[in-house]
Amino acid sequence: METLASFPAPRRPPAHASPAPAPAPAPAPAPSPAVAAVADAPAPPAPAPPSAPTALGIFDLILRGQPHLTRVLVDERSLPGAVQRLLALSLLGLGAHGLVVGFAAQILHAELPYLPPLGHPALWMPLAFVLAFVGALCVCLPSFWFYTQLSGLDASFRLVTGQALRAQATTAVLLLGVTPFYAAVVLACAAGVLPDAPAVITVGLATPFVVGLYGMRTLYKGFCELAAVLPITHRRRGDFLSRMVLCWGAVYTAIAPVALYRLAEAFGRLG
Amino acid sequence: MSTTGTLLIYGILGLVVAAAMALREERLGALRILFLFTAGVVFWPLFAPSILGGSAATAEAGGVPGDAPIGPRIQAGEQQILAALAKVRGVAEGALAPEAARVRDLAASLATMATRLAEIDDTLRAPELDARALEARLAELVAHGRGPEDARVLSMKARLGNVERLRALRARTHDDLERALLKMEEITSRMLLLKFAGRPESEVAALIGEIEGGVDGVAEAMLAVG
Repeated sequence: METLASFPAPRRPPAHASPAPAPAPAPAPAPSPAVAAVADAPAPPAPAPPSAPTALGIFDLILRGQPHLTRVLVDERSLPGAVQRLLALSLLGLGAHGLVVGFAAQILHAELPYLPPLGHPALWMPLAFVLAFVGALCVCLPSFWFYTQLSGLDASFRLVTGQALRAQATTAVLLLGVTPFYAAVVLACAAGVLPDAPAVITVGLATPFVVGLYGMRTLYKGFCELAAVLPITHRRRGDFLSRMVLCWGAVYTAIAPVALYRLAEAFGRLG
Repeated sequence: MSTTGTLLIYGILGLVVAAAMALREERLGALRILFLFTAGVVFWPLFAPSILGGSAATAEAGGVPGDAPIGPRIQAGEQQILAALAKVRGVAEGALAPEAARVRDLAASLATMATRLAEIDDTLRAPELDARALEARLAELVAHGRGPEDARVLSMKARLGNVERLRALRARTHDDLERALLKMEEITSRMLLLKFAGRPESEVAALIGEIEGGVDGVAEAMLAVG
């Protein structure tokens, strides 16, 4: 049976850090103020609070420093700034990809069977992408928070927002990487190398969803890290984190395409 | 309500959120205002949680975000362990009766630790221990050409070091409290196990001895740190 010895005992402070209390059976009295007591003690290694990253810094964190990004999101001081930067990055990636898809639809003159006439998609497609994907995120936030609470993780609404934007920004950054390849495909189609223009447009519309799978993976890994930090309100059996992330993905995947379709319909009517 | 009406209300809410975000900013450039009001009006549900959330006083003071209040947990732990003791009383009443007093002593020690933690938090909130202000003053001194051997720079660095030590001490104290509380919960579950174990009296007595040692160990460690 597990004994107390197997449970790490509280560490004693350095001998000169605080006056040693007499070994009395009664509870120890309230300690004296700590500043003077610890002033001469050797500095132990203390974890530095994560600094709020800059716009370029958050780009770097998404690509190479996801664990550090988790610490940034957990820290209440840096979270609001990080949310703004993650949103800016999401808008940039989605807008850039939407612009390329819009140009593709414009120059290829493709009539999509599942959409009404598109008008001038180069003008409205970036806006539609941004509004559809980030707007769907806004709509889904209460559900995300609900699923997180159901899974037993006591995450604040702010942290859930940060996590959702983290997944979106990761997708957006990857979209920025994929978009040049897609632009090359569009150019090949415009040059007549690829005959099926509607298929090329459809691939452009579907790319954020495919790339978004990596964003989901990032979300899952982020929650795995958070599970070690956040309070657990109730224990769940099995791989509850993956089920929770699947729920996030399911509700988002149900709403975002509908939002994109409706916005494309509306903007197409406007011309 | 028509779409226009809905959008109007959405936009008004967005303007309020955007204005609140702008008011919270320390430095505002034209581009920043443009971003805040554009993104804030359109995507205000993403910003509203930050605006409506409480201040980051705990984090500012060096606290750990997500720290649960310790006092109620200690009280709850004490109540639970005493309740568990009462349930096994029928099995080994003579051996367990003194344990209730021990548990109360342990809870008192934990409460002392919680008081110590609150004192450290209060100390860390003092203006003279504001790490940001100290760092800013240090940066100012360096910007004015003060070298690393300058007495003011050395003093500022020493004060920053003291803040770091205090933060480390706070983290250690919090960890110790957390560990002790977890131990209390573990002991409670063992107490409950006694009721259903259906073991012979001798085995129960051995387990009680182990629990007694556990309570003693945590109490001694608490006293040593406190």
